[in-house]
Amino acid sequence: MNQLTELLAQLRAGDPEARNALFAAAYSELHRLARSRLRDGGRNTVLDTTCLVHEAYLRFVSAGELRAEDRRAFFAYASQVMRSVIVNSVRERIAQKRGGQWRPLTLSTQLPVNAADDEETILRMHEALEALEQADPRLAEVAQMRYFGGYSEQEIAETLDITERTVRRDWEKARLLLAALLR
Amino acid sequence: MRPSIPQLALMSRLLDEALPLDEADRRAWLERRSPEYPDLAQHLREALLPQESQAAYSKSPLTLPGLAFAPEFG
Repeated sequence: MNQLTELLAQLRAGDPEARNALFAAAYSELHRLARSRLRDGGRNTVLDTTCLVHEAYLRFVSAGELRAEDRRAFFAYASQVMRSVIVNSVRERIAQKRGGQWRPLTLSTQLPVNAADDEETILRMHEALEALEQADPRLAEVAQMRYFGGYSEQEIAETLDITERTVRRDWEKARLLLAALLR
Repeated sequence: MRPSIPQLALMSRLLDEALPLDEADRRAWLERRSPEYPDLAQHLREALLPQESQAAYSKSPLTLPGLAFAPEFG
C-alpha cells in the first residue's frame, strides 16, 4: 500500500535506492501508457505528455500506491521520467536506423519529413538541459516541465510552489540560455 | 561559441538585470555592460535584442516536436 508515497518520503530523506525504485515504477507506467495510448490512437496520434502524467498519477492513486496529497511531488518527478522515456525512445530509433533494422514508424513525428531533425532537436535539447541543470537548477526544472512534461504555467507554479509570474520569467530566461547552448 | 557552465550561470544573473528593461534601456545596458563580459557580449545582444540579430534566439525552443509512437514502440 502507498508504495510510491513511501518511496517519495524515502527520497526526501535522501535515500538513493528510493530514487531508483521510484524512477523505475514511474518509468514503467509512463512508458506503458505512451505505448497503449498511441496504439489506441493509431499511427499519427500525437503524444500528449502532460495527459500521460495526469493519467499515470490517477492510476497510481486509484491503485493505492500514491496518496492524493503527493500530487505535487509526483508531478515534479514525472517530468524527469517523461524526459527519459522520450530521450530513450529517440535513441532507440536512431540505433535502429544505424543497425539497418529501422522500422519507419517506431517513433515518428507529426511531420514525417522532419523526423530526423526533430530527433536531433530533442537530443540536443536534452544535452542543453544537462548543462543548464549545472548552471541554474531551477530554470532547468522549469524548462524540463515545460518542454518534456508539457505542463502549463499554472501546473509548474503549483508543483514548484512559486507564482505563475515567476514561472513565466524563468521560462523566458531558460529559453534564452538554452538558445545560447543550442547555437 | 557555446557558453561554459560558469558563463551560463553568469549570463543568467546578467539577464536578471536586463530582461525587465525596455528596448532602449536594454541597448544602453548592453553598451555599458558588454565590455565587461567580452565572451558573452554576442550572446547577450542576441538574447536581449533578437530583432537586431540574425541568430534564431526569437525562435528558441518552445515545445517538444509533435511526437507519435507507432504500435511497435516498446
